[in-house]
Amino acid sequence: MITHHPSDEYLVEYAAGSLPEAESLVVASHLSMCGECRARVETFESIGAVLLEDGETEAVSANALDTVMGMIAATKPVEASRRIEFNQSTLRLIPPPLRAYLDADLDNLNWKRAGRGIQEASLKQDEGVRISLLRIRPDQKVPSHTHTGEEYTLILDGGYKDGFAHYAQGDVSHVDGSVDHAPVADPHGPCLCLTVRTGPAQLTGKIGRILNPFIRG
Amino acid sequence: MQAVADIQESTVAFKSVALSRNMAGPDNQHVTMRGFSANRRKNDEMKKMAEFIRAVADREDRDAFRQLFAFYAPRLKAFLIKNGATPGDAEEVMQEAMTLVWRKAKQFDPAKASASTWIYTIARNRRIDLIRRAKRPELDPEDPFFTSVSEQPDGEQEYSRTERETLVRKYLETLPADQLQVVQKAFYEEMTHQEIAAELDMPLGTVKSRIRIAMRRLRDQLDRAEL
Repeated sequence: MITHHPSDEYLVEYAAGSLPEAESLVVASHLSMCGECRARVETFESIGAVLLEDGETEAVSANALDTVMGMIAATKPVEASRRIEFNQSTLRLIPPPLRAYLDADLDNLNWKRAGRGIQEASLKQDEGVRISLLRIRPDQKVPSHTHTGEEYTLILDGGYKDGFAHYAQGDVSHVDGSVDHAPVADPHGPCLCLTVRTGPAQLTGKIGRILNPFIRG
Repeated sequence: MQAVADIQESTVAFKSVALSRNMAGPDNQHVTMRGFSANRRKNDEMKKMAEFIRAVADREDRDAFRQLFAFYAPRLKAFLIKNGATPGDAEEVMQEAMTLVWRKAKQFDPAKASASTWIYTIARNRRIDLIRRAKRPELDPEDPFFTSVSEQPDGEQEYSRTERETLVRKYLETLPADQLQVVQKAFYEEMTHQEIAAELDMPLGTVKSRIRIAMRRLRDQLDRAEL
């Protein structure tokens, strides 16, 4: 049962096409798992449709239709041929929009230690925005931290609780710099999540403060 | 269906959302009856568009495609220019989008989207690919992942997607000017909420809350129509 959904503002930006790539990835992956939000996005997309239908027109080039018919005749539909054949556990846990970001099965990603009981596989890093998968050991506590930017998390498997709420498969969490949280993974299995971060995390605990100068989120 | 008619009749004034620049001005007030029949006509027109897409899918019907092209191509081009594309880029994205309409016609499912919504999303994704040169994480509704994980697809549809569009149009017509403005900027000019806030010189929180209120009211109205 999904209880934490992206707010309407994000779904509207997604529907309108203005949400940046990394946030769109979180939203699209969540939509794969959540019929309720999918229905909302469809509603918001029909706003775009109404504006399109009722909107102004602009003369197209004189031979536009011929050009299009030519493009239709010329290109045989080519299916994306270099798709990776993922194994079952990857297909089960990774929603379709996210698969394009993986270059190997889940277990064969380039996992790096990111703290005690925490592994991180970086999927993309671009202009200060990091898209990663995190794997957290059961019962593991993530050191207390805040964020210099924003952090979006989508739970793909397992779950965690921070001081504020419990997050389970399909749930989305969004925290900005003001939130100091220390998530603890659920006891019954590892927690796998997609995270998007727009700035490095700042450790806030006792040990965290000492480590901080050396940590890049 | 009765609920749909009720909503239409209960609306006092019909404000065109035809997006003339001063959309909420008094010039755009029409009487109810005109709005009602205009919506009905639109509804029929849109059902025809859906049939044209099916004709392309079923038998590569060129005449049907010509009809689609005649209606959507000039609208897409204007829409893309409003989004900030140059006329040249808008023409290119429009042509690519219309090519995809032909190629993906078999995937069109009127139970999931109206003709216009479907074409809108194709053009939107194409625009992101070509103009923003960004990747667009896309849903694949055919993927079994959907049914395995999501708790509940969309539920039964009490009204068709085309009728929903009519309700959405109706709703936009009743939206207060300040909310309509941010919704239009979000969709028409493809601005982020941050950009809208900067342009209108208002706090980001105000933009967000206007969008939030407008969307909540829209959802409430659709829910009510569904009962």
